[in-house]
Amino acid sequence: MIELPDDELDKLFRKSSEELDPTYEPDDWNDLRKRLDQQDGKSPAGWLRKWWPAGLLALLIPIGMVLYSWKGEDGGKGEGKEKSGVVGNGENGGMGVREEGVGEDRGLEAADSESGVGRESDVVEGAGGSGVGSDVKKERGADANVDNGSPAVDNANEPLAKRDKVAGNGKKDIGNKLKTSEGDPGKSSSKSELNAAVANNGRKLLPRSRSKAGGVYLEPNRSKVEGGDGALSFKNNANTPDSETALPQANGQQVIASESTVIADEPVRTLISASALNGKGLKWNTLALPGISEPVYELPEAPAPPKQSSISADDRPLWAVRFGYSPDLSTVGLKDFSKPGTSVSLLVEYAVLPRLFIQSGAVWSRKDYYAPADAYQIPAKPHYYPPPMTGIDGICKVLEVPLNLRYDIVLRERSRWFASGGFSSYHMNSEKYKYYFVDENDPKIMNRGWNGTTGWYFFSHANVSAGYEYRISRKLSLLAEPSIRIPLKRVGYGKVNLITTGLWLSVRYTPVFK
Amino acid sequence: MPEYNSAVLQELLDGCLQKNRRSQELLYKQFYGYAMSICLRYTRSREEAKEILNDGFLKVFTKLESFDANRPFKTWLSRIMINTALDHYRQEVRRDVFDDVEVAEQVSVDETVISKLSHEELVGLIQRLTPAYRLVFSLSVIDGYTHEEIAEQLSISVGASKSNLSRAREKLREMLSKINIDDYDRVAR
Repeated sequence: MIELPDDELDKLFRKSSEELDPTYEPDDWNDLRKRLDQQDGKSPAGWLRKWWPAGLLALLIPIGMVLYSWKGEDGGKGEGKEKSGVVGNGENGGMGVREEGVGEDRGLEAADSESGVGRESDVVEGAGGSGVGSDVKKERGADANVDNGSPAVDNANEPLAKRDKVAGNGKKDIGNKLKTSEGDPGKSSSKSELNAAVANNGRKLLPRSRSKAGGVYLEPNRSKVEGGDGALSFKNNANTPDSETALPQANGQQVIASESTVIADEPVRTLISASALNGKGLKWNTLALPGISEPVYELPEAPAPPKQSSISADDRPLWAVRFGYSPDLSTVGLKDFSKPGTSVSLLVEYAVLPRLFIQSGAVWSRKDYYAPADAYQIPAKPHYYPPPMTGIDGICKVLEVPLNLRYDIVLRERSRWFASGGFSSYHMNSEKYKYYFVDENDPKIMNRGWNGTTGWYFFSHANVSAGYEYRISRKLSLLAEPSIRIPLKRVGYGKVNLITTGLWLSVRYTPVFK
Repeated sequence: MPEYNSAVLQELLDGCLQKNRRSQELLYKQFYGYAMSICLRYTRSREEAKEILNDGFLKVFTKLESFDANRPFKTWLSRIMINTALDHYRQEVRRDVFDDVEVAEQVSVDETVISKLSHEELVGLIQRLTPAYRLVFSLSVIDGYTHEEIAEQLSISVGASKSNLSRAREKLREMLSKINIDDYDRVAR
């Protein structure tokens, strides 16, 4: 034992430490440069490189939702608007269709476009120029009463004055009301709209089940144009039961068929059945309401096709593109899971059968794992026998090319359950291993790690996964898919059996080729 | 411009601030020996020292904005390297990869390896100490930390710090005694 005083000993080692000048190793700088290059991912450009998948996801999801909601709204609006189109019949047939020449001076004939014709919301039936819109009904308030099904048209011949009285029961001048309502031209319907509606096979019919507790209800497709019985509507006043305004429709009827809201508290609606009208002819010459001279012909309404959902389980496009993210939990031996890496995927799917897809693409992943020493095979070097190790830490960046088959097990309108399986080929983009030795001070240790790449391992893993897909629109869907990659052969410098598990969160886009 | 930060150094630092790779390489090259000598005495191998060195330089390059140009760069650099080494030590402690003290006391010097004493070899002796002894010895003797500071840095008591220092010295003496005295004399001159 050297008997060296503390200060001498300290001086000796201090001197050595200060004067030590290790030689420069260019490899050390190369390692650092690589890390700096990675570090540059924090710059805006690098950030973009790093986060573009998340950005794409964040972009696609709202776009899909907007598209979905827009499509839904569009369909609904189109229907209501177009189907409520009414063709007025010239001067005397003004049926609340402003474009058809409904003048302000026509009183009732110009049905209030606020809620009647122009809106998708109501049923407006004006026969023979009555053009009584829902607002008109409202004007009449709860006083109005209709004897459903009764021959309420009896008083069609009643003096106009009486009918005028009926019209005036709402304590408002309907004509005035109509005047004010003209300020909303955008809500009026038109012949062209109706034609468009017909051409569009508008989906909604006047429901027979609709409540008759208010407003005017006309059974659909009963115009004489279509061979119907010419059922018509009229307004009634409960307080003046004998003053029913009979506006029988001799040659046709105006139908503003609208799908949507029938105002619940709307005071009066009347269903006039064909039988009720039997034998009651329309006497137009007695209808002295201003501007009402001729009935309005109802355009034949095309048979409504069954309502079709914007999303159908039968939508099965041939192609689909998937972008996904998954945490990458890699391990050797399904234990000693280390921190999860990251995987992103871009896959293309093709439907070979209605429920069967073939799937391929690219998956980029970073796999962090720990392997026990016996699972890691250090390649033999001549005359070198590495001391016993306890294990290794591995960080591998892998490009994976999967080839999978996906089968849709359960198909629903908006969702599906599926399972998939196949094989993956791995390309080791970069490998970094750190060795842990039983005796870290063993002088026989030559290498404490290995960096490099060992290239391709074809069909090295079997893939199994199952998942759930939810469609947010016809073209976009979201997927959650737990998966596992089972090693079929050893990969990497140390030839490890690398098992990878994860949960794919994907966006699936199904382009439509026209 | 403070005299201890030369114009050349300042130019390099400016380049590093702009993430100029060439400037970073030149700075790395210029201070490689100084930083590596620090790292070596806090680690048990050159590989490990290199890891800490690069971790430290990564901090230098990414935190250079926080460097006060009115202070010596070398001091800042050495502080970063030491802190990085201590971080590394703490991580290793958490992973429990170190031998405990009792096992470490069995450390011996392979005399066939040490044939001549040099600075490298003497630093090599420090490296052969157990982590607890090595860190306390380096912090206290070479880098001038007080026992209170060491105790705080390593989350140990002041007494433990003193004890570790004492035992580190003993171990070093023991190792030196196994080395040819002539070599010792040569280095000590």
